[in-house]
Amino acid sequence: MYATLIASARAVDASRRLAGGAPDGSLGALVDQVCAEAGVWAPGVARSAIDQANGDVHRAVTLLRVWAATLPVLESVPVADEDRRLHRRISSAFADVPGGQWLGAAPQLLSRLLKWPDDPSSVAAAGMEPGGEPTADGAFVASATAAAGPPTGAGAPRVADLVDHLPVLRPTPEPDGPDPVLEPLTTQPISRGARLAALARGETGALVTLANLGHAGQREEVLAEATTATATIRVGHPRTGRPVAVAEVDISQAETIADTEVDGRPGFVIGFGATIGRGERRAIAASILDGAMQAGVGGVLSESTVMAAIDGLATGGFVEHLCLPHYASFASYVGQVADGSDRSANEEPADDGR
Amino acid sequence: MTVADLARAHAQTMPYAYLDERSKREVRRAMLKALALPGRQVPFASREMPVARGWGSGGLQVTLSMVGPGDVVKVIDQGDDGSLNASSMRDLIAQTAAVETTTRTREASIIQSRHRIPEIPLRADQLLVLQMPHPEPLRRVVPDPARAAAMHAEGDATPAWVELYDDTVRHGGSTGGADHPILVDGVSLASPSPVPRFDVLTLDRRPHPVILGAGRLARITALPPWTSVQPLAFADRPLRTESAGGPCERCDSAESYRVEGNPGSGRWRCSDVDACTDRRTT
Repeated sequence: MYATLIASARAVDASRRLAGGAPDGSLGALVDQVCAEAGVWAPGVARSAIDQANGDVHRAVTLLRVWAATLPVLESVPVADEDRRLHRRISSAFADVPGGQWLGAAPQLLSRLLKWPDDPSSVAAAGMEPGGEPTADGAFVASATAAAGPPTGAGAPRVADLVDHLPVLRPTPEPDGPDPVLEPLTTQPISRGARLAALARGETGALVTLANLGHAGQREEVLAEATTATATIRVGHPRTGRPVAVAEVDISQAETIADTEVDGRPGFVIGFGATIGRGERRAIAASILDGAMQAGVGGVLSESTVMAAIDGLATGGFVEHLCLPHYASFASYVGQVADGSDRSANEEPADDGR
Repeated sequence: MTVADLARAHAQTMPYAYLDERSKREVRRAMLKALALPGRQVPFASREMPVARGWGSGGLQVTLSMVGPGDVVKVIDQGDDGSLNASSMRDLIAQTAAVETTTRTREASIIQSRHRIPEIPLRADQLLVLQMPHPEPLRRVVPDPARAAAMHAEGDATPAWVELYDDTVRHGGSTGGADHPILVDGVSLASPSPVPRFDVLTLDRRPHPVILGAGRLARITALPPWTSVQPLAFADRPLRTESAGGPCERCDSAESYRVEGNPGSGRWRCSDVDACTDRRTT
């Protein structure tokens, strides 16, 4: 179990091992981040894009989105619970959740001390270094007694349902939102589905920053559940219409509980966030923002601000557009300022004559 | 003395107790100042620590600045010594400071804790270090930190009282849950860190010092021994503690702070694992 790990040092070691990533420097987390921010699950293409962009994440995301913009778009069938094979599932709200807690690859457990390649002693980083033997199946449970691997989504009922008997802000049920790739989100208000889709491909830094700003106004934010999983994506067969598996996509999902007022009484709002790739930080941040927008926190967390701020290509594009020549337009500003200062210089004696 | 001699003297890859002496001095000075100004938030140059910010980097800096070879260290998270993060920090402290560790509250000389205060009473020779995420008790009602600092300087706790009044009128009591604000020495408004209200009521006139470290927000707050600590509450509306749905399924206590692992299961357990074990074995 996540909360109590006395009997499972082996699981922690295994988890560190899993989170440590491939030794060949394959930049797994970076590839996942670029895929997520681009909204395109294509790790191989993302790797090329990162390379072509000299490691500039913004540019790599641009390359990927530009490439994907003109590709055909198929509508997929909603992912079934049993098609979501969990790798990791934790809850900081309750210790014993139905379906269990699964440590999986926990990047937070990795050492935060720099490893020097030529200094073997620095690798023994104060008990915070991977140890133990890797296991083949890639499934580790923190409870040393568990024999089977983690469940599918079907075997892990939603943790947030455990507070369902309390006053909880319930979002209006609505159909799937528009795909942000195909429809603009510039006309607000937008549906919650569209908001979640936009959050899913939001810029990581912006998501995390806004989630922090949002927290200042909240009392306590608790992670009901965070999962990483591999989802089987199915689309309807063009002839038979029957769902056919076309891709395996890594996804991260999170639900956070924050306090809010429900009909004038103290209650909870449950925010949801999801992203493709293994990006717990992104999913949790997105869920905090969804909760804040549901609760109508407003201010910097109003829908319009969040939607504008998380669109990394737009915000980066604005900053970089200043590199374009502004000779003609700036001449106009210069003229205006010069005229204005002339005018006020002439008016000065009049002002002084009171 | 040559540069080579100096380098040889420092040939270890890591200083004693992880932090270099200059960093420790910084933390110790802030602690002294905090002890001289009970309940106030004292800024310090918080270092980047080998734990994630928000995972106890403040508490860890306090512990590492205080720990010496004779100490026995206990680290708990939500009352539990076995918790993952507590184990990691305990290992770090033990290995870099070469100290003994324990899970027994009575045996420890330094107890670092996240979000709980040990239920076994501490002695004057013990130090309690609390990890603190939000040192500013006014943060919800006074968003501007400079304005909040000015209010603390003027001893003006009005916004906190108004917030409490608002909660009382509209909801019948504080809606804050954990992290209920405290009045230290009757004048300083402070955060006790997100300990449950059960713990807030145990903070008054303790025989040992309590140091609260906030690494992410770079503040240290202290409660010197025997300091008066009262929860912010109206005279006719005392702070109520949390209620559990049944006695602890392990030790049968009905007085301890208990949590339900799986809500609705009716299985309540002490959150302070050592106190629970102590009750079962003695």
